Amino acid sequence: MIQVLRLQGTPREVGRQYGEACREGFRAFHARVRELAQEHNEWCDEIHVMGEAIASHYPRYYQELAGMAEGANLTLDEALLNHRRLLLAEFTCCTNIAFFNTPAGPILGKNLDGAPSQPNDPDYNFIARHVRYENGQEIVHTTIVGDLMSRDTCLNVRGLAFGGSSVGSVFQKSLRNPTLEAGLYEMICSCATVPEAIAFLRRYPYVGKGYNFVFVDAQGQGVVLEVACPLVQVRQPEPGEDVIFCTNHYNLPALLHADRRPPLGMEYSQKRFRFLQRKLYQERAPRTVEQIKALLSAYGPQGGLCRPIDDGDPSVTAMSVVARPQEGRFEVAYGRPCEVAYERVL
Amino acid sequence: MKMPLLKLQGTPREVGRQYGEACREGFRAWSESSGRMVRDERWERDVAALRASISQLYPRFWDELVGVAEGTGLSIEQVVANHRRTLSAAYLAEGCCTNIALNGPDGPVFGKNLDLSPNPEMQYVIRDVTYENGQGMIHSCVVGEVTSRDTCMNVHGLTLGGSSVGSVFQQSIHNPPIEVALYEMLCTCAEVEEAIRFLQRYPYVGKGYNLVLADAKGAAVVLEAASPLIQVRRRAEGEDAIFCTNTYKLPALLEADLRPPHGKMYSEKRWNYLQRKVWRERVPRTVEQMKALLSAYGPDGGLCRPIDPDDESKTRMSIVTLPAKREFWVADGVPAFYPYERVK
Repeated sequence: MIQVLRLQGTPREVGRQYGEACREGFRAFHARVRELAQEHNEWCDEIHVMGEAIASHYPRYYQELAGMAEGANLTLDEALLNHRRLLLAEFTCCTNIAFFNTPAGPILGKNLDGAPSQPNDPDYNFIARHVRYENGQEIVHTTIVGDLMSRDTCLNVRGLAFGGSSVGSVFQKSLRNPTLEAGLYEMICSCATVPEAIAFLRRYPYVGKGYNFVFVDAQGQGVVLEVACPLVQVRQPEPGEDVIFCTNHYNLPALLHADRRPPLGMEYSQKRFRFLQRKLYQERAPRTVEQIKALLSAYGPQGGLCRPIDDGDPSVTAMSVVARPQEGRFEVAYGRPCEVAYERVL
Repeated sequence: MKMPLLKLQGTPREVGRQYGEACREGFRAWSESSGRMVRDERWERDVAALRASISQLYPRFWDELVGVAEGTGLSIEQVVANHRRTLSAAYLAEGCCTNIALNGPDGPVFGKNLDLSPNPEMQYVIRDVTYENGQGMIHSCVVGEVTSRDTCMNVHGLTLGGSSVGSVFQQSIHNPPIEVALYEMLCTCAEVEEAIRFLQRYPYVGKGYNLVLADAKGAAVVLEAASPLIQVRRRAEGEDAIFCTNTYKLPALLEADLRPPHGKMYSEKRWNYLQRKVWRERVPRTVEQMKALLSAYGPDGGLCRPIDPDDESKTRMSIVTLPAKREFWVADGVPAFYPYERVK
């Protein structure tokens, strides 16, 4: 089972608890970042610009980064360098699905798929964090040990859930803009509904590598945000549909050429998208918790979402998450969901 | 020059009041014309959202709008509704401009033709504004608006000229209008890189423009502002000139415009003409040559509209600025037939 950290207090206190609990993981992650930084001499200057942007736009997030550094016994610059790594064009290959209206209420399902180089990469240790802030906000999310982010999968106490799929962006970005990771984290600590989240995220342009995000809330509202940084665009559900999903390419006409997927990554992104179109739009698979788990666990000649889907697929699913916003329930299968059971984290 | 030249000074509120008083009839006519455009609940919500974003993010600009309302006798809602009009798709067809920045023996030279579709409603003025805080600018402006996007040079020599393009991207009315941000940028910044940083702080609502930005030190870029995005096109390596017409040229934005086919064809004609004259034939980088480029039309191509009998647009005015010398020249009509006059 995935390690679950229960944290509480102010952002600084939460960060400190996280850093202390995962000190070795933080330091291992940072050692790898140091190696990468040797290939990116510009990072050492950039982190100060990035840090200022985070501090001025999202001071609570910045406080948590500072707390993490204290707890992990890193300097603040070292913690910021870890954060800088997330802006790299490294790609992961996730699938996210939202059912808006099932007998169990709205459901978010997600497979977190590692890039070919990642499954055995000790840098990529994941944990789940269940955080209660002093201001009454509460979230549960998965994150890479070594940084603070909610973009993989996150559910807050007010019933807003989202999950991200890496895509990339061809547009120019400015490090003077806040990082998307920080914007998302502050959004999930502030917003209760999908419209609120959209309004929150559209306030600024972002620096980041570009993602699709499925959002769903406890009222059953769902969208995909196609975030080709610095741009935030909204893909609404197809008319009359009760489900929405995303893989690793943009589907809005204005963004069809805005991704940075390599050809093989694009091929498998399209395969998973078409699998979901067939299962959900044409065959109209039942909208149930068991069915979403079955979809996330499917692989083989008929297609599926659980990586590797077939022999040519270079990716591996590292974990699968099912979140139920109305119940505040968050389940994780830590491994390929076709092999590992879902266990309740919250 | 027949076009009015208004010399305005004081706080933004005082400047707005002077502008409104001087152009009261023009403002009221523009407001009536705006009122004939689609006015529904959504339009009213948009006006409320614009009011919120402008007053919160750009309070000096907001004060100037309040002054305009006082000077014209319009309500602030009517003044903001005029501003809302700049965001409408119907407005898109009006503008088809060319903007150029060169570096030559006279220092940096900026040139612009302001081209309009047939029978435009717009009346223009030149505003020469000195604010109480030492900032100031000279710019062309449609009577009824407070905008600097057409052509503007500020006290530092920073010069801006815009070409309408359109944008395929979704926009939020809760973001600030690009027109306001451009105006505030010119009231704040002295150099091109400073201006880029200023503008990249927010996503914008607006119809999408190319904007040549040039400063007194000879720096120049084109901002490809496919709202809500701001992207930067820099001069080709070793080049001393940059220009824009009505299509984006950055690879990421090649399909992001909203030009109709005929407009796109004439945008490309002017672009190709400039590539040939400026990059291949390497015409001299002088003020006289800039004026000659802006005045050219006919079978060999050109920039002065109509370029040929099929060209539906007409150049309304042409402007040349020398940012290092703070000179601002206007040809109040088709530059092939009207002389440039120095107004600053």
